[in-house]
Amino acid sequence: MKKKFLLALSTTKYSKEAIDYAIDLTKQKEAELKVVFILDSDVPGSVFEKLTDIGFIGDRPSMDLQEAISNEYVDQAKQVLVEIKDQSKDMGVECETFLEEGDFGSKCLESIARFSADMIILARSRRSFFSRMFFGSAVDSLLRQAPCEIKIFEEE
Amino acid sequence: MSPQDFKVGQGVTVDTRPIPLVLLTKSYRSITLIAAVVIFLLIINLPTPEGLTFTGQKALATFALCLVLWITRALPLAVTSLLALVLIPMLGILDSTEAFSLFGNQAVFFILGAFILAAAMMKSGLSSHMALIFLRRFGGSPGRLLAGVLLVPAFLSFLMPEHAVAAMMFPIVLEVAHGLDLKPQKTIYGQALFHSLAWGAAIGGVATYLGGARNALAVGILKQSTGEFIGFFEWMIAVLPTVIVMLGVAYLALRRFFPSDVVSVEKAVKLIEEKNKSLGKMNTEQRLIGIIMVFTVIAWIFLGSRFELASIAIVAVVALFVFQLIKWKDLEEYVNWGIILMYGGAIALGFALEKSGASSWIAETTVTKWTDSPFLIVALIALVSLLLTEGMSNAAVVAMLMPVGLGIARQYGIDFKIMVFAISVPAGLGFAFPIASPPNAIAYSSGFIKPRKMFAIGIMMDFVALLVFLLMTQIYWPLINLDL
Amino acid sequence: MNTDHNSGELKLELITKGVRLDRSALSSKEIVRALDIANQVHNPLELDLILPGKVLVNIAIQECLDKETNYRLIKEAEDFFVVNKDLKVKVYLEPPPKFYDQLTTSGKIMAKVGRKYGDYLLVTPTGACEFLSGDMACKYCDVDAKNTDDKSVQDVLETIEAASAEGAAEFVCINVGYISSDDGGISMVLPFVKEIKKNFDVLICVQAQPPKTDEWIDLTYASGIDSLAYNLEVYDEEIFNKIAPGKMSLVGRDRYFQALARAAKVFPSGAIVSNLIVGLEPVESTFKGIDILTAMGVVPTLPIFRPVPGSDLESHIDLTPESLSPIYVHLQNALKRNRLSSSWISHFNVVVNAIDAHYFGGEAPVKRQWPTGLKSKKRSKLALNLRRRLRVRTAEDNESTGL
Repeated sequence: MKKKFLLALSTTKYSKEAIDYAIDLTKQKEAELKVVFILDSDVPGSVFEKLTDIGFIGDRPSMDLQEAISNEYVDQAKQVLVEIKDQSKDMGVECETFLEEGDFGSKCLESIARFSADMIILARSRRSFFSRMFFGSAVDSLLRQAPCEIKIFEEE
Repeated sequence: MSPQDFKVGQGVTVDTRPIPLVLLTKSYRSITLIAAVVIFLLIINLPTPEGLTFTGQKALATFALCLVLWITRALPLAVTSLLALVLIPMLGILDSTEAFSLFGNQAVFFILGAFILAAAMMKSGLSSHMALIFLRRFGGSPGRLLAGVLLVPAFLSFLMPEHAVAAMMFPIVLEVAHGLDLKPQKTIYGQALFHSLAWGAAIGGVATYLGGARNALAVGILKQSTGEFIGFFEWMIAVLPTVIVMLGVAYLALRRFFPSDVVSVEKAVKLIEEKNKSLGKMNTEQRLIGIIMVFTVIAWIFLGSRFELASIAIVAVVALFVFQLIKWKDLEEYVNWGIILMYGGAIALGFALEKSGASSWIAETTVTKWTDSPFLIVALIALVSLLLTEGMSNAAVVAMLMPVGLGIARQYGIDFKIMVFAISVPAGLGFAFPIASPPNAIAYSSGFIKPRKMFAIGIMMDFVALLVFLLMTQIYWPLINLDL
Repeated sequence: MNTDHNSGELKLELITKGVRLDRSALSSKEIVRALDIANQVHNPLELDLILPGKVLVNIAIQECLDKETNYRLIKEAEDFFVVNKDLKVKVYLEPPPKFYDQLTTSGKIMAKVGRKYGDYLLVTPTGACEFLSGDMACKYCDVDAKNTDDKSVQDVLETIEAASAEGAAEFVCINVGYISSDDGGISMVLPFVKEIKKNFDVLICVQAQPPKTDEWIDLTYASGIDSLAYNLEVYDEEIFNKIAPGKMSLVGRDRYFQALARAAKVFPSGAIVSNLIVGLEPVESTFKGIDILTAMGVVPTLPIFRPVPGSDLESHIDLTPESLSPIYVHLQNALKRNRLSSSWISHFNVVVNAIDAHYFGGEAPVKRQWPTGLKSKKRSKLALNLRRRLRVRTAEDNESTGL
């Protein structure tokens, strides 16, 4: 049975090196590649928490703006997936792409389960030790929990 | 309602963050409220310092309470202002008639009128139309387009709140970026475009009363506390050169720190043309609103001292309804009504501090000990305003610093108007953090901007802005009878 | 005759091979009553045995399966024994609860409204699962569509009251078959949950199908449900397609994982459960399913499949206790590795629990605990309620406080 490799990316966790590695490895091992782009659904909302100025524009323009931002993230994600698919095709690698929304760690585990992945390849965002310690790290949690091999690349 | 009556669509969610964070979020408000009350009681119960009356001490305690609440947002900003409004007469700082009448302050109604006018422009699509018309003229090269994205929001922020401008132009700049196949954070030109949008809106927003309600708030506090006033045109005259220089600096910084990696912007120009065409000619509604806006601005400039800015603003609002250019329902969607409460309370508090002598006392016991030089004082105040605005609401910075600033101005014999500019202009010029201003946050949310670069270049821009402002105080203001 | 034995292995033997009732047992008042109730509710006879070491086991007595077994249940004097030619083990037969005979005010026999399994009272308030119509039925399911009917909230409340009076309902488990709605059946359950929570201090668990969107999962937790089961049944994708056509086409295997992942984040540790039926797929596949589910924060329950002659799965994988025992050790290790508590499911006697794993070479037993791991039941419930109050956010909580 063919091996299955899972490449997980997100708005804040992106690495060209990880993408190249995933495609090369899939070709080498004649495996299947599943690529999941995980939209962090908190990001557009958090922008609005930052908009603290009183007298900020009313509800309607706020909603329009939030929608514009959300749509932009979705478009950016779709663009990345298209590029990866094209790159895989050029290398003769079988690749399926998926766009998901939610918490990065959970979605990775869920995807490992769905695809019965033998390995997960992902990027880790650059953060300080204290930031990881205080706010936790989805990738560190995955390292402990994932029931398959993990390969991590630092974000560019 | 019992938990089992919850329905999907009612916004019921489960917070899945680590429990310590959840506890912190939940208890943050209670802890902050308690801390604010403790600070209030502490100040009120301290022995009254020399030079300060007990009334002034109470005013200070109320001010400290509101400050903590404004900064921490443990209560909504407007509710904090309401609290101030109630405490002031209850503590005998001012009588209740006087305190409540401050809520009907002209500045508040001016701001309300300006926001309604902006709402009409946004709802009718006039603002987008204008943005595209102006932007159309900036094709030809990447440099010109960049200048367009800087200048168009700057100009529009002369007429509308800067955050409304940024929100309105965001989808346009996004489309331009897509049209040029720019990659988030990768393409330098993409970063430049969004920085341009943020900087343009922010810098333009300090030029008139319309660009940011903080300007009108500062002037409202000034008038209430000292009887002095800065006219619409007077403000522009004083600040416009700073704005022009800063726009020039911004453009140079954009060219220097974001060297273009795009050769041709033909696709973007075409896109803008197409969008413009799709909007068609301005319709009657848009033209009428435009005409009302023009007349209103002219009236503010030439008739402001005779009829008061607020009156002119309200007449313009009434005109919008007379000609059925806007519905009340639209105002509910486009205007944030709490501003009346926020600014009314801030003005009442500022006046209370002034009248009770508390603001003078603060000036005497703090800043006067450090230096004799009015210029240094103004520079210090401007610096504090600039630094605070990087982390706080611009309006809260103004509400916080104005009473103190006026006291300091009195101590040093500095023209009150200079103090107003020294606080509210830098308060609108934060460049380093997304939280510094709504245009920053909106531009940052595009995903095109690199946070580290935003910070590094933003800090540089902050200090250049301060320098430019201070140079203006020395070189230009004496020419318009604003002497330090 | 050997009276020394391994209770865990015996439990597996009894489940996989079944037990016949000796004449002495058949004439005992406990079994006569149990038979009578079984006939009234048209269900197979079920016996709750407690093996030495307080190992709980529920066994369905089915002649067609048990005719080959060596095990017999006998009664000597007042004691029951499980015997075969080599073994005689004293067991305690839990008599059917008193409330089974009682009728609700609407005339339903309470044994049909709720069944006791360990500390759980299992209630199935709906009529037949919609999978049972057409070709969508799960191939391992033994529910008789003709023998189900709707129960009202009042029926359920009266049954819980009667069950609680004899300490038979620490946990109420509401089971919902497939309902073709976006919410996975939760809306139907909520009125029951509301009244149960209002009237009783019990923990509620729901077995349902995954809803179409995750909002329903958050709502499920917010509405007071304490534990949730979305039963995957098997991990292997091909076997899943074959044996659960309804689940595959109407829900989708992917949706199970998505919903379980979300639920594991929303609910407390160990409160999300999913069946992996042992015996329906190769053991390696069950191992993988255990690893993945536990990594996601889901506690697998591992009921053992007994193929019914004449059914589609008649000739399915036949497991021996020897092949089964490593599964429970594997489960125990996986739970430990992922820091998941089995305290919710340890009160359910239909399955072999991780706490029984020590019988198969696993670690020494942990005492059966209350959820949250606290010793006191009251404190445990308080902690669960507090957690809910802290984590559930309504629209008012989420609104911006800009003004």
